[in-house]
Amino acid sequence: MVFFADLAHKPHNIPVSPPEGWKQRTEPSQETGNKLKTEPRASKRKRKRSPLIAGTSMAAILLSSGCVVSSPDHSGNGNSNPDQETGSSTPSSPQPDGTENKVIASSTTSSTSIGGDYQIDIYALETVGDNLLRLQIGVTNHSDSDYFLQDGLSDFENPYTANRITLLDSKNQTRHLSFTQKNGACFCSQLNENIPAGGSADMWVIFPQPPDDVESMAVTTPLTPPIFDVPISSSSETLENSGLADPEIIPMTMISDNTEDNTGRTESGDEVSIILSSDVLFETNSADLSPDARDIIDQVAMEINEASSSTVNIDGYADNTGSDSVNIPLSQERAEAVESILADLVTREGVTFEVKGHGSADPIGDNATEEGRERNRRVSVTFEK
Amino acid sequence: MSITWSIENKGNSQEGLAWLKDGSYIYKGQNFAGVTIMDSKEGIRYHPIMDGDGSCLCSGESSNEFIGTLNPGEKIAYWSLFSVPDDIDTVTVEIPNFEPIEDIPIS
Repeated sequence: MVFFADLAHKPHNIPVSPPEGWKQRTEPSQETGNKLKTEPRASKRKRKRSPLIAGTSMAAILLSSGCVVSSPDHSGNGNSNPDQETGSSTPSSPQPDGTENKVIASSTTSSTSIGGDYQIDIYALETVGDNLLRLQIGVTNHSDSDYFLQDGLSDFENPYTANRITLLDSKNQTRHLSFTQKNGACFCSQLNENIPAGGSADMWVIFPQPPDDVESMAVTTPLTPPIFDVPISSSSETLENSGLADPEIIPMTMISDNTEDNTGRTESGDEVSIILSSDVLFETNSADLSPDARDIIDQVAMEINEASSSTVNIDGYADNTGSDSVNIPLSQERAEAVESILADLVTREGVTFEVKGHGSADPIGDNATEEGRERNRRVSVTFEK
Repeated sequence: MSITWSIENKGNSQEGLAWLKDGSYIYKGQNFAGVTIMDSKEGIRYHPIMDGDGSCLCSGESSNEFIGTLNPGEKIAYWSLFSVPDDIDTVTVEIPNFEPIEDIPIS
């Protein structure tokens, strides 16, 4: 069901000019190089819960008629199309035969100046050899003017590619980043050209494969809403590349706040972390529990009783005001205070607690804001479901 | 669950969108992680999914093609990805500086 939920522009005080650095990326969006990002935890554990991403996309708005069509400035000199040549160990993949590619899924709109006229069509998500998965897409310009494809889908190190596209495995709750080669290049096609009005440009990019029982994945791009349920097929082609860095398959974490009891929650795979506000649990600057604390901790105990984990981690944190010599011991004492109640209330046998105070390390909120500092003053209780 | 939402600039001056950035939780880099959804029935607010690098699964990463500053009259679509329990039927979309948009059904 598609419906219209437009926002009327509400007057508010915001700066007229973009903040410094907004228009250009000042840092690479992904780290490249030889870095192991695979989470062994995520791949070893069996998934029991229901899929992370529920159902199909929910469109609140569509850009339809009347969208601004502007031809961005470009120093365009036509249709030069250098195939991927950075890195001597990069084989080039033959483009699919013929100009008619069957489209298996498409994006609905985009965050570009041509809006819905910028369309990403997915031609294939196919296995192409040992742990290699190739995504073949076309970028189509449905507008009336030329559109120059710049860096919207790529990162700094790999301009004119689609290497910032990622795949989501909802079954295992992981995100697959595109392969990086040891020389920093992506394993992907390169496209530096003008897409004429009505024209289309083909691109491909290689990812690590998911486990065999994963039949489809979602495709995320920096410029369009995600495209769900893209089926994985097998190609008869095989690609090889001996220069690949380690695959980067990273977990996805759900983050929520319970506004009624003022607790936070993160879930990543089977690991649950319940975040308790120190302002609520404790008297100011002390590790003495407040009157409400026991009830709050009791809720956590109930979850632990239902869970299977034998180890529960209790970690205390502070904001960045005050010194480490105060914050570290205080956060330690607070974590211990929570442990003492939990040990009391947890009835399942064989549960052990590991307790640590971290002071102002590992903030989850922005210490420059009051809201962020409050969030950082916390005790988290982490266990496996 | 993905939400596609757009913002239109009905004013006369160019407006940047940096205020859509994460508020209480920090996500890596540039992002519109300030857009959250609320399950009013349970009183639970969902932030966009965060990956293992700390990145938001949502719009906001800048590039030459990404429109992060709206010219007068411009309306651009963005997206945010959330993980919510299967039994939720409707949510309220919370965009900083705007009134919450209620009763959005999940299809």
